[in-house]
Amino acid sequence: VRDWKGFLGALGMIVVLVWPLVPHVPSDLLGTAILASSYGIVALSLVLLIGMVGQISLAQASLVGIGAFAAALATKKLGWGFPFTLAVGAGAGAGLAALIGAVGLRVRGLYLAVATLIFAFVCDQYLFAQPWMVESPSGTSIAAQVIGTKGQLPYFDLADRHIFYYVALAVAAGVVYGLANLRESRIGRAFAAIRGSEVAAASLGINVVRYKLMGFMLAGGIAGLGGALSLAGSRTVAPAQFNFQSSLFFLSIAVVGGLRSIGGAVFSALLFAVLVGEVFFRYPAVGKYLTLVSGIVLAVVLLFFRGGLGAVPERASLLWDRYLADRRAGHSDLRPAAFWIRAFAYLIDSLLLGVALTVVGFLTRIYPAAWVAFAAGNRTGAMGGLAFLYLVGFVGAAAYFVVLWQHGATVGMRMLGLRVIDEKGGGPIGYPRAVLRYLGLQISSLPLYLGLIWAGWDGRKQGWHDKFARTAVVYRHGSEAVGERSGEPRFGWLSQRVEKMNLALKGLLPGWRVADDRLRPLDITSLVSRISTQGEAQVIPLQRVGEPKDSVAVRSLLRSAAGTDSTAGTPTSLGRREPVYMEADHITVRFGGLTAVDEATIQVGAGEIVGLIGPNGAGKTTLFNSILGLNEPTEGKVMLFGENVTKWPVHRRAALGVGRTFQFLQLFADLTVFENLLVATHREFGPCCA
Amino acid sequence: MLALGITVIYQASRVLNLAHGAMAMGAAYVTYQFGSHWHTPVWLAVTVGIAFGGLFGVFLERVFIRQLRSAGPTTQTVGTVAVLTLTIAAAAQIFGSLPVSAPQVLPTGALQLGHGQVLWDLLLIFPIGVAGAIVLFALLQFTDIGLAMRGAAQNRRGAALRGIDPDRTTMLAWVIGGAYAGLAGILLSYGVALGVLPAFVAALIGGLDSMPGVLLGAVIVGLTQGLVPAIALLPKIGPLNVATVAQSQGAPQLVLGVLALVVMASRGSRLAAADTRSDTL
Repeated sequence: VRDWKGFLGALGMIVVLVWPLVPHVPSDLLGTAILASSYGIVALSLVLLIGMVGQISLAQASLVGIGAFAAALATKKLGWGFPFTLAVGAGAGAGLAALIGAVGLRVRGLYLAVATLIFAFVCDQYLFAQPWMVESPSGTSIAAQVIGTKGQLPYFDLADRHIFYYVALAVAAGVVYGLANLRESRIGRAFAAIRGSEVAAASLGINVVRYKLMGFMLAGGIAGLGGALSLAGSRTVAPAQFNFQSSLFFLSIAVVGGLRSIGGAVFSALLFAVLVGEVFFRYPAVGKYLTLVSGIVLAVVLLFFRGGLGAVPERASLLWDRYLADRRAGHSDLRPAAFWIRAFAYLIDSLLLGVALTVVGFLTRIYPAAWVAFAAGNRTGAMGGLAFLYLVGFVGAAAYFVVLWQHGATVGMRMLGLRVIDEKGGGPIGYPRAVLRYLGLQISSLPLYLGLIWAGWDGRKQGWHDKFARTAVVYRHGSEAVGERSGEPRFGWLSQRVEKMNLALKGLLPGWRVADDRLRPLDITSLVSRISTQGEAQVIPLQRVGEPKDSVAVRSLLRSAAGTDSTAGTPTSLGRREPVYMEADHITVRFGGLTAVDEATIQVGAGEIVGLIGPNGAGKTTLFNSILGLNEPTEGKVMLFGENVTKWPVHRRAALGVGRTFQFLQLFADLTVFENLLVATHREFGPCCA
Repeated sequence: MLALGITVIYQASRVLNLAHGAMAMGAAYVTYQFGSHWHTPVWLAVTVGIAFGGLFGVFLERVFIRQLRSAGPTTQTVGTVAVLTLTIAAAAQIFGSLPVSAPQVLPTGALQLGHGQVLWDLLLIFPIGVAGAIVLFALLQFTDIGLAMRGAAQNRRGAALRGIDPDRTTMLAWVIGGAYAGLAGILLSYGVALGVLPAFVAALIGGLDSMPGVLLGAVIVGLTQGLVPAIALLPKIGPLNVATVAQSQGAPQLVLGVLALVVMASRGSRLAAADTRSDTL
């Protein structure tokens, strides 16, 4: 499968590189591709900021704008050429983003959203209205740029879209490559940890302030790069391109792409660029629907397809697995589906078909041609094409329903968890009866869908056409039940995680592996958190390799693991040992009038295990928080390895080796099991921050 | 007024409603449709407009916010973005993109005050806003429903365990927020949805949690927008030419923005305090 994927990737790359060379490629198609690159870059900057670092920005268009205008200034005032203006744009974007970031360090969540909103407001109203920044309200223009001299190599005429396509592609590809690598790196994991929980990240030794600022600046730099690129491509930039609504537009692109997924952002940018460049720009009659359509797309993605385009492959494979499992599982306890849900499924299918037909109509240029003909008063000329299209639609719809019914369910039915079965046997209905059912549906829908409404009366809630074709529409038995019946690993991604789990287990418990058929993702994550925070292991099914049937619950995974490599001596007494590693000296913590910890002193020496017990509210956690740096003691000092760390930030203390577990797991849910383990190693491999 | 609606919704559902302007705009347009097209009495048109604002709030909460609750506040905020885009586009389709003149709700004319005169409608908007704020403040602070709203926002499960239906309180908050947005939209006859940005600034300066603070914020914002251009009339002060800066386009917005950012930066803490608390260590 991997080879197949690689082959497809290579093929795609070749197509992307070669298609502009095909003779007679319309140059505005290239323009669309260039547009897609710059959309993609901005969307990726949002993927970085929102998806990876977990900080929201509603000012991304302002950053793009500052990049564009800074690049224009550099061209006009300093006479800098093309590749350097990119750097200027990126620098300007990063600089401005650092300002946002400075605020972002202080506020989070919705306050941050408002802060960026205000930032966008200031940029739009003030910065982009200043004469020293922008030439005129209609924007700044620069002269056409040429690198090299004509007739000699190297020679790049940036006004030639064929050339510029490759330039834009290269920049976009560079950003994709950089981000993909960044995500897998130590920095990327630090970002993800911050997104999960800032406190937990700091406890693992991650400098939250530094990484957050870095995330803002990187994202701003990428956005500025996109701005400089679009300046180089269009030679004119206007403030209206970078107002708050553009920010929302860019956000829509990123959300439709799925925020977490680089590939999703790329495809989403392509989709929107085609929408803008090929449909709305080409046919001004529909141009005014642009915001409407992008709003609808955004709403649909949010409500029905949260993961965005990026989640398509995973969702598809999941559906496929479920489908396979369905086929294996028997057909007992079937529940007939009632009117509304079936009508809704039908609506979804109709919507899909309608969208497909519209796309076909535009691609074949039949719709536009018909409009032109209508406008010219040529009614018959327009009708020919439309009749053809209607025929295509009719045949297409018939084929769609027949084929998918025969398979079990249409897309709409699948989304709502329905399927069509044989009335008696419960199996698939086969082609002949699928055709029959379709004819029946046509007949029953003629008198105002009476046949469907029949489902409201019928005892088994089936429509007239179902009676006609002896079929039934039922709920597939609840999706949870599906996996429990089959004894195999349910999802591809789950078994991948299990593999990584086993890899991690190898060092700890040789000869044991995770019994993947009994495992839920939750178990895995909780086990890993226990490992990374060194507590007791969760009860999870483990199997001795080679004895697949005999699954055992292991209670204290790490106790046994620690027993083998424990070099420190056993704690014989709780008395003080030399040298003292950790010392909390007369710690007092007051919250207002309440004294939570009163002059507590605790010392931990080399190789010593010290327990602290007390009833609820005794101040144990508060003391720990003071030692770790999560709250500052009112009085007293904390010493670590002979250094006074009372004023140190959390991550610096963590770098010295102070760690903690959390009463409620602080797991980084978006990271894989393996990456969760890697985050715990942050301080070991990083340049030390002391 | 607008800022008040934002605060109500934020207090009760922890969602930043970016579609607030859309609510105001929708209500203003409905009022216009009733008042100017169908020639209903003004009071009826206004009532319908406010009701529309409330209903719009319900719709938003039902369709987007509730569905997206599991996905966290950021996604919910993005959901309101979708609504904003949709509403603006739909309004442009239905009513055209040209500004329309709303029916006169408040009496026209001017009040003679010594030398100058003040327009009646401008004079009336302020007390209406203050009255609205007081009503809302009382509702949230002193009634059971207000308490339930504030509780449900902070801990939905906890509130549910005390017999409060968090879904209902959230929805109620959206109704109130929507109605306030509608009223504000009608009074100011907002044609442009993005006119709400100053309202966000006001809500922020006041702190999204505090009702009197928001009112104060709104006053500050209003005064700044009015006064900064006036500074341009002052004589030059030393080498720094304040007048030129103040005269340049968008200067009030600059001052406001900087003000808001400074307020925020001075309020926040480095590591989220709320974050630590929610860990329940």
